[in-house]
Amino acid sequence: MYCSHLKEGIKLGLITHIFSNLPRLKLKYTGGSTQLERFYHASYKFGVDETPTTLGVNCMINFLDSINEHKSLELKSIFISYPEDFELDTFLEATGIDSDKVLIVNGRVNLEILWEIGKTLDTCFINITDPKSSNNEIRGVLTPSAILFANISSFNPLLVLDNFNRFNNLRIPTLSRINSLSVEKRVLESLTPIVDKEKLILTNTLNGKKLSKLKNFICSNQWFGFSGDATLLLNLQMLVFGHDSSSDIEKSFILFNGNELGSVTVSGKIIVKNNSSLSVEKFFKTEEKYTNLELKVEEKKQCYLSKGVQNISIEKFLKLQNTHNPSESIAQGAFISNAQYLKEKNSRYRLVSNRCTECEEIIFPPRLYCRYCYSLTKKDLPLPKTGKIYSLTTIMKGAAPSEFVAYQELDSIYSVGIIELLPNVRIISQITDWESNELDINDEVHMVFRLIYCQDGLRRYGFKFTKLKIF
Amino acid sequence: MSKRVAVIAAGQSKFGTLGKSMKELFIDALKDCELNTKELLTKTEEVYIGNLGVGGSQLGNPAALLIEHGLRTGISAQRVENACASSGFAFRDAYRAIRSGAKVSIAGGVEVMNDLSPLHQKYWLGVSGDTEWERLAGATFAGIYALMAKRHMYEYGTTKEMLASIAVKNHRNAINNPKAQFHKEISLEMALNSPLVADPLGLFDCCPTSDGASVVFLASEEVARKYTDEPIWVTGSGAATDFLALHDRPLISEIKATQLAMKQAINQAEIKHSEIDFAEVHDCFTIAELLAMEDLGFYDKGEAGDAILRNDTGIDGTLPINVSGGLKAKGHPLGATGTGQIVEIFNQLTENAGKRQLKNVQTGLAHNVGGSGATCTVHILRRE
Repeated sequence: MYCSHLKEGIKLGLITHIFSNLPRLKLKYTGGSTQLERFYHASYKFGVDETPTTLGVNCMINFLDSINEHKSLELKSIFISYPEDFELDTFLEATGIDSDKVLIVNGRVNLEILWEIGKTLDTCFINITDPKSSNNEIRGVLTPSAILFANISSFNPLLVLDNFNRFNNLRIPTLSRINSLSVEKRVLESLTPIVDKEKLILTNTLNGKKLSKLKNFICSNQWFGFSGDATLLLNLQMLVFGHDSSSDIEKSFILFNGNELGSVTVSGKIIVKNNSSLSVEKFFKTEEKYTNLELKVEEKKQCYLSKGVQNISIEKFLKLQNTHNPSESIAQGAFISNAQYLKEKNSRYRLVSNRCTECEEIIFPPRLYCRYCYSLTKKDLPLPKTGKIYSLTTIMKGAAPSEFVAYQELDSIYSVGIIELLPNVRIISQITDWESNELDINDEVHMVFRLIYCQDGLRRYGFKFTKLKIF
Repeated sequence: MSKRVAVIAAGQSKFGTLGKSMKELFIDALKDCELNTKELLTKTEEVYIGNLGVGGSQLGNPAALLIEHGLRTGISAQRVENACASSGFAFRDAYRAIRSGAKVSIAGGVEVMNDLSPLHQKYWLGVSGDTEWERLAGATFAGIYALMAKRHMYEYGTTKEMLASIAVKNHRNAINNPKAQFHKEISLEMALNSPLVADPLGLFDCCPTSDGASVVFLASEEVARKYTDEPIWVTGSGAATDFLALHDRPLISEIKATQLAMKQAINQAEIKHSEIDFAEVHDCFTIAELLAMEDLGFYDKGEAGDAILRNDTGIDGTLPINVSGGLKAKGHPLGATGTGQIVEIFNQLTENAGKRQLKNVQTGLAHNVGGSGATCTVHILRRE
């Protein structure tokens, strides 16, 4: 009983994890692998069209989707802490969250207090970290660095931490910063009734030196990563818990690297410990199989990062955008006003279509008249967020419309496709986070919320599609 | 209503990067007409000028401005805008003016595109799709046609070589057209290896950015007989629209508006496809010419590619297409293109096409597309 709750809790926690929209890599256990290269690439590509707002939205949507799967769960309140340039209105519109449920906790977040509140309420906590804040201990981390939900139904609290930075590569010294997240200890303490924290001790060595500071590290069992610009040797042992299927263990590790220098050698051991209170056997029925599993990946990484674009920061991106989009003056030609744009925000943010109440056909993008039977009555219908590429192209450098020049300068090229969401329900969209030569007609793609471009001092957001599997 | 409509004069400026104003270009086109345009202008009752308005400098009243610079005021004149098919529709309007009782009408078009900086140009191009969706996805017009090309390749096995062969042919044709923007032969290898603009379309799959103007005088039979012994008759006129956005269309490997406009035109002309001797089709991108070959009904879907490789549409082929060089090599000053095609048909039918003159041609077809196929006109012209 207890285990299944925990299992469910962990699952939910993981689902809401920000890195749930990273590709779930299956690492090859020896030698280099193209998958690893792909991941490097993905890590570099990420963020070009992301802002704190998109990160928060995508994270929240994933979370809400997972809640919806569990009909017994009801989200009652949401705590949001966010940086200055986070657009709360857009966040609320894109997620469809009732603003009455939101409690804004800006400034330095007192996780401890939230934690206490979280224990008594059905709560979701989303922390979108300001990369520019100097007193933020997890600064530089643009992702919602922690998602906490507590007491959803009868679950116990769980905190999922990540320590990645998509934009400024996480450097070796940053590893030690993890330790400064004092919240971890508190969380561990909170978790004490559930697991024996002694079993969660992780040992690390860096270039042969033990990182003595890094004592307690609870890591989402789904994701663990690091990067560095020098040769990094990391031995790790960790307790893996909470998997709901044994095959998922292959996806447990992500090597994260986004630097053009040096190489990374990682070897690690996943020690599956049999903890009676966890009933690990339940999660790993074939426990023996994974005991002392060796992960070994060696890779000279240069591939995609030699494009001359590296360490992309959101600041740089916005600066570039502003360079090309001074707050006034230049909008012309195919200028679409924000008022006009936002009229269709349900469609543009959440893929809401119209279903004709007469002939039941789906109309997307929505129209006033049903295009099949001329009826004027219709109901909103959210479309599936997964579709297939019907056709695609890549807009090469120098060939983008003016308002996309800044975006293209960072990415050099971008892909545009027609996505078929349902039979004969298609929409044009950018396909992001993916190299065009890895895309093809009929490939499955998933909706994400991203920055389209900046114009007249406004950021314009909407859907894009990516081939990366979200769940 | 069996009023016959004739084209009695047609002219165009050179197309290309010219450094001329829209007024200068329009006068160049007028001067290029063989007949005494001064006299014709005094008889003109209706003027229709196609213009997309790149740069937006003369979005208002360009038709009155141009005809005033052609030294005529006091008549009805209007701008016609249907993207790249603007002057195809201007021609249709001028044709219908004669059918409605006017004695002489003018259809023309003008565009000045090369006086803008690249950033401004990109703002003003790509405004003819469903901008709220297509433009906002970052799609350029090359991108939109690329989506069609990619799907056509997927459905019918069309190859890049087929597309490139169209560019090679049209460049070769343009060498003999002194009004064309390019006079340079290209090889298949050059075309295939040109830098990508929007995959799978490369630089040589795309038409250039052009300045230019064209003008056509239409007249009733009575007036036409006074000016010429051999009037060129407009025997068929068709026009159609379609969904602007590709994602709203049931199929994107075809242009439905072309099929519908062709049906109207050929039914009105009461001829068969085999009686059409040559065609000027809208090849803003190479894929557009291939689509036109199929959608106009000259070839079944998926068959045009092989016909191109067989050189069916070359100057010596069974159905010469874009002898002028087409939009690809003659140039594509958006608003001037539709009547520019009529100029070529007129010159061929009156045997004034110089080195590119086709032999024994009696019937020609002009096919003009706006945007990615949201608007289309088809006109069939025939010599008596």
